[in-house]
Amino acid sequence: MKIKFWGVRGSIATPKDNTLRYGGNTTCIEIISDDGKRIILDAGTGLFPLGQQLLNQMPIQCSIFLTHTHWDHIQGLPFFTPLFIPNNIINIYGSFDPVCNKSLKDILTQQMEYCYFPVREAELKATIQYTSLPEKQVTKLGETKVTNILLNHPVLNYGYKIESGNKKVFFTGDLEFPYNIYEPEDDSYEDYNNLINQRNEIIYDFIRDVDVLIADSAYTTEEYKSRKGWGHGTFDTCINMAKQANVGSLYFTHHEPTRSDDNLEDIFKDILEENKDNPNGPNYFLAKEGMEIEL
Amino acid sequence: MKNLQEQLADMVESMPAFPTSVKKVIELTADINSNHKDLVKVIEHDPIMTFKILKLVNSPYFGLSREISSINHSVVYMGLNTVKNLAISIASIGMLPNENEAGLNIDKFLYHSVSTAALSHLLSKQLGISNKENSDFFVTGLLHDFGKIVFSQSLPKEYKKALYLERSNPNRLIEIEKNIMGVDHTQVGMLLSKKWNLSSQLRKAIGFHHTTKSGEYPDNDVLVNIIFITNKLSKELQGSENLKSFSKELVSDIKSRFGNDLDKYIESPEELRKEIKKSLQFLNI
Repeated sequence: MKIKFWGVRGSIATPKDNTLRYGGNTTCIEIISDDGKRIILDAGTGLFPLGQQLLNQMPIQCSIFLTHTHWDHIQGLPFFTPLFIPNNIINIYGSFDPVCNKSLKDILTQQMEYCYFPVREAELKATIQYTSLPEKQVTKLGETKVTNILLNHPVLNYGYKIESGNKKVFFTGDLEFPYNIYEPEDDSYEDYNNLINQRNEIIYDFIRDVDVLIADSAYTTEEYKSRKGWGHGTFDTCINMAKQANVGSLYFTHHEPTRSDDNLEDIFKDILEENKDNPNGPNYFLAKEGMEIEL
Repeated sequence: MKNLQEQLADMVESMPAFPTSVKKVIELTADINSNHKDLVKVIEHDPIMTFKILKLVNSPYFGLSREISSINHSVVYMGLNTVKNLAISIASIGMLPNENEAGLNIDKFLYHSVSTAALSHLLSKQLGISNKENSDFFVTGLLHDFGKIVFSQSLPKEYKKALYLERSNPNRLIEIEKNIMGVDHTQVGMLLSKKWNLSSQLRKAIGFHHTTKSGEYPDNDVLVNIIFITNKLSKELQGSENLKSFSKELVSDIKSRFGNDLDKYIESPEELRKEIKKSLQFLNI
């Protein structure tokens, strides 16, 4: 299995001189499975350069799995050139919207309406199929399996586990572990804590022993204090998840948009220092635009 | 031609929630800094909002391995912002009108539902039932009469007649409903909770909350017995502000279903009233 990062920035693209090393494009990860299936996780602005690179391989077939439909995860989609070219087959998977009761197709078609984009969805030339996934659905692409699990974010967000050969990769999309909304003196406090613990165990079990965990580490623990409920994880919550689930390597991603490359590396240096006495623990990496991993 | 279950289910889709909670949801969600637990409290004291959210979270879209039976559990599972926005979209349908053609008094209905919920929660704690399950008792108490509100909205003319006949034949509403509509409110509650994959325990307790005949209900099911008793307790408490003791019939029902386990509560209507008051404050009623 091969993994390539095309966008590692969170929230909004950051084309600045101090983000050049890690990259300014928003979330997009390309995976080529052992049996040659092309899987794209999220369609942030990183999808645009990926689409450009694919132009010399037309026609293509690929499966795009969207963790959720917030802007930074879908903004590259109308600019994904293969969608405009006949004979390409593009399957898009994601969640339905329970609040407005919309299918994935409705949500994405709306993104290309007149006010937002000059070309309508109906005018795209590729063969496009949309699938609104129920939770824990196994999607089989040849020998490769993709399974989704619901994770906490201010909209339905699926994490995806990709299994190919004997290797496993998990991507969280955006994830903030739920916190207790009650105070310790409230009647519901204990009940709520139990529900949270139960839920976290289900998540750890789901990702147990994966070779690669790619996780949302937008904030430091200090920054998180004033960003509770915004839907993102911290470096420490990612490390805890990686340890609880016994994963091989943890890649930090969804870098905070105001974070410079130097700042990111300073934080990472501290993390390595704090975790150096854990020889059996996971290996840590900062996800970087253009970085490739081979498993 | 759709069957009755489908007709009633369609009707619930467009049914607005109770005015007090709709107003509170609008007020709380207009302020980005409002307290999340206050919003959850409002939702979990409104039978219509609760039923609709449980219906969604237990729907096949979510491949759940076990049923979700409380609002807190729904929030932990779907996320606070999704539950908040579901509440906003339910609120945007409008408000259940104070006056309805069937003549069902919705303030009294809500008072009875919330007080039955609060009493069920309290008595489940008294019986030593785990914290995890206490909230299921609350929800079941809240939803036990859901069929009545569905009748009042979907078959108002027929239900008006049923409520009129009940006045001269108290305690025979079930029989009257069956005669007029072919089904009674316990069956409607059970049908809808089955259609929407709510827990089998909740379905049973709704379905048997008026059943007294030995052998016709699961007599060793604590939730069934609790809802049977709290429905009656709540009516007696609602019936008289100064109630000092419960009716002989109710005391004997409690004894036969729970032995002496609930003795303390039979003696003290005042204590129960305090518990109900605590719950009602979330709705300002």
